[in-house]
Amino acid sequence: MRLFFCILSILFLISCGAGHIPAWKQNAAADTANFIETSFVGNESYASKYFDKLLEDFRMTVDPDEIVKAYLTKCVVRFALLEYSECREVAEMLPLLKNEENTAYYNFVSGKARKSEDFPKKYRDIFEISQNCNVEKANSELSSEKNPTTLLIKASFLVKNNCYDAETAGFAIKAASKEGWKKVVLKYLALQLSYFEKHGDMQNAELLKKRMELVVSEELPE
Amino acid sequence: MKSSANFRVGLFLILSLFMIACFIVFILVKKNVFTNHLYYTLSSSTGEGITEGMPLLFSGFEIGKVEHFELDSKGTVLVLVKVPEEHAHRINKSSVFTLERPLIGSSRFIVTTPNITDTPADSNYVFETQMVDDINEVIKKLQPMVEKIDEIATNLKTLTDEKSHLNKTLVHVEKITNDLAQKRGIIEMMAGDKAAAAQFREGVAHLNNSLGEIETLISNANKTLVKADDQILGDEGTLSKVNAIVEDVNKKMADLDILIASLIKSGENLQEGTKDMDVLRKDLDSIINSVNSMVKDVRKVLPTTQDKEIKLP
Repeated sequence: MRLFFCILSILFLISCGAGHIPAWKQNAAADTANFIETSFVGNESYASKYFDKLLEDFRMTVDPDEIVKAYLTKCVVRFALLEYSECREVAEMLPLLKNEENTAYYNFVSGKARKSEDFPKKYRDIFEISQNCNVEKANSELSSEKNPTTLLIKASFLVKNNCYDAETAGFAIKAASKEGWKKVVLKYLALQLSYFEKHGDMQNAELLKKRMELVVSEELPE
Repeated sequence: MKSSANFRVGLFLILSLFMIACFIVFILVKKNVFTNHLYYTLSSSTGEGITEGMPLLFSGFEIGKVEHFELDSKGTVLVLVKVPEEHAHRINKSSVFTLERPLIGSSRFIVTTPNITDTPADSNYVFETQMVDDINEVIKKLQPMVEKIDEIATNLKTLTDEKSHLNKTLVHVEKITNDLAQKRGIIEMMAGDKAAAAQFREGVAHLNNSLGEIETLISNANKTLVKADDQILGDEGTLSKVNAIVEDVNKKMADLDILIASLIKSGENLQEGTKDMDVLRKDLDSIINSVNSMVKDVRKVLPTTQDKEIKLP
């Protein structure tokens, strides 16, 4: 009991120093997480609603550098799902942006980044690795990544630059599967399958097909 | 005594001669023998209708006469008009002379002077003459009428010609009246010969027979209809069965009405239930709002692990 009161007192003291966080920011953080989660799961209708909410939250600020985060999040999520686009929504807002990190993210997802400085700090290492296409080093980089979303984005970047193997896809599958992100899992399983088929590893290909059928057959209409 | 008688005779003779002289003078005065005259020259394009002694009228009064007229070397007719001095002031350079040829009566010159104070005309001045030819005007107006009359006459001639349609029609009428007079039938007249008329009569007889057969057919059809009437409208006919079915349907419809009424009642209950649901939802909304506000309050009070900036993945 004494310990409980001690902890409660400490928490109270910390809270006094934590400062005020605006409601839109709290909502935006929650909606961003929900949008990423539902998109990766494959629940499109929910994802669409969360994106609208997310956009609404950021629009409360009327700050282009905040509003663009909603569109960038959408593009990054697509990127992680191996759906590469030019991210046109952000392109229209570029002249208004002041935050260089946002511009770097745009260059990264739209494929316009050419040198390390053009990339977001988080992804500069993977860019360097992909320059010489050291797959082993790339896989090592993925294995050390703790954040599953970041891992998926890095894996997608390697796939885009054709610097991957079955293990690269395997890291993504493992991370996504652990989180229950069914859509991502199926995408990377398909990628891994095509890799096996391309390299003549039919045994593993068959196994993968069966694994995929476990899920896909259930979704087929009667 | 004898000298007295001579004196009287002499006096009578002298008085008679004096009276004769006075009469002659009076006549001469009246005939303007002692009056001075002025002469005016008129030019005209034609001498037709102009005669010597033709009167010159001013406001309907005769003020002069045509003395003489002749054709000059240019083909113009020059007319010399004599006007007594007392009327000469009515004619000046503004005067207009018109040769009028009325339909009835003789031709005459008419002078009009618009400006009576204008410069008097001297003997060398030549007036242009205008023409008013009533006869020619009438002829011009009559010309179309004459043409129409001529046209009518031509049409009448065409109508009454031997080969005209009217004549042919009259011939046909005559033929028909002749046929009627000989008491031949209209059918024979229409057909043209007796054989055709006979055929026509035979046709009519045949038609009569056919009509008889049609009557028979109609009577048979009537009988059939009576039978059908029995079958449809009879006690055990189709209609009675249909009526029974309709009655049955009506009974079922009544049951259906009851069912619908109960359904409506259920619907009303459902509506009330929905209202309750609305109230419940409002309660839930207010609870969620309360929870939200509480969460916000907790967020304000509790420490948070969230960064101040929202970072992209």
